[in-house]
Amino acid sequence: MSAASDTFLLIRDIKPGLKNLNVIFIVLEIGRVTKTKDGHEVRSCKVADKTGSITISVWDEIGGLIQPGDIIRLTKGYASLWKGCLTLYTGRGGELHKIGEFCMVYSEVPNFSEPNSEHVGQNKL
Amino acid sequence: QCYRDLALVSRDGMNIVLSKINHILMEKYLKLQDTCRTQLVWLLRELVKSGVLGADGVCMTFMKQIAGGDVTAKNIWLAESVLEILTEQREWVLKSSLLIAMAVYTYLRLIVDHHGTAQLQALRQKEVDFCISLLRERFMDCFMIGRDLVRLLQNVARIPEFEQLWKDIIHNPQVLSAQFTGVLQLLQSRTSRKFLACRLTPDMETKLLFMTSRVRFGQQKRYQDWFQRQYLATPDSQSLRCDLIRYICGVVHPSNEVLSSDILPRWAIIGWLLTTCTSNVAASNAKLALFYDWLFFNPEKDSIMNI
Repeated sequence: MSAASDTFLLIRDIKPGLKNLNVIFIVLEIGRVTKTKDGHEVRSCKVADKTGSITISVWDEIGGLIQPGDIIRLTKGYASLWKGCLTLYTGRGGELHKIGEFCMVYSEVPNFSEPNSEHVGQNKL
Repeated sequence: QCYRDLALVSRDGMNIVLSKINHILMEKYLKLQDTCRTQLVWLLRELVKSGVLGADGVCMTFMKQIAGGDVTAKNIWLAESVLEILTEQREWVLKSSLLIAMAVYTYLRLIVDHHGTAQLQALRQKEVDFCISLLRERFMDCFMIGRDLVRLLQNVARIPEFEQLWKDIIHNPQVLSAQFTGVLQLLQSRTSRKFLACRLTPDMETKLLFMTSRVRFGQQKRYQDWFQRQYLATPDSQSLRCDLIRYICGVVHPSNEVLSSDILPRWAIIGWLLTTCTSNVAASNAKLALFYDWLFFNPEKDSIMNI
């Protein structure tokens, strides 16, 4: 399934399996770096908009560049389940673009990346 | 060369150039590279030397980009560069009462930050000489600042030149100006918003205004942390709290609609600014800053929103 390519999706409408997502969010927290088996750096970041928060996995340098408070536009992202938790990804062809900082209202709850019984049994990575 | 051409071609008194410069300064200064900043300062100097009408406005916009509580190299460079132009072009500065007042307000405030290293000490001395000469030569123009001038002068009162100035202010005000009757006259005069705002950079204003108009009470923690991390993280930066508090008291006057909503109230922001202060001196100055308008409140001339 893919969403329309020129509209922006609210975090509450992100569901596992959606592709070609455009989302605007503000970064709340940057997580610790972890190394993948093939040598990449990954960070899990908590981001939010007015409808709730979600975790996005960011690879390599970009993860080191973004800061809490940054307002970012994600284009061509996708969403999937990682260990039972809904997670957002940039993916191939996707882009994270900083469009501002600080001045965005958000709601930290609900956290859509919390492990959810609905997702048990669905496709997992 | 380019400047000469520009000056020759301009038919609107360089108005478009001036408004473009002001726009770049206000919106983009933080993103400008060093070479661009140097060019802009050069351009300002040329505008001032040619006596272009409105160059004083650009000067004031430049001064606004000098961040309080920030002693990093780039910020100091800017403070020095603008001061150099003002000192060099003194005759020109004297033509604008507003510029005199704004420059004195700016540099009196910055003196507090400039101490510790030889370079900062040298800068401070230039700033002291600059302010003292304007205060003594054009006291009534500086008087325009109002009661915050007293607050600023108090913060530098231990510097010998200012100690002397204080003696004159208290015991011999007429020495400064025939129209000056004393400290009380100055304390009774409310400080205009434009002075209170001039010591916040555009980015600081944008963020504070966002907090007081869009953020709901209870949701402010992260914004406070981000603001603190950017502007209030070092020991030197604690002096900025006074400027922020004066700004919130005197410039941010929420509408009744906002007041009756659940938007972050001013007292909550001020509470945050006071309780997270890491310096005793700065904290006591900040508390005084809070009460300044209340101490001298005159129902006829002052706004209740200031207290």
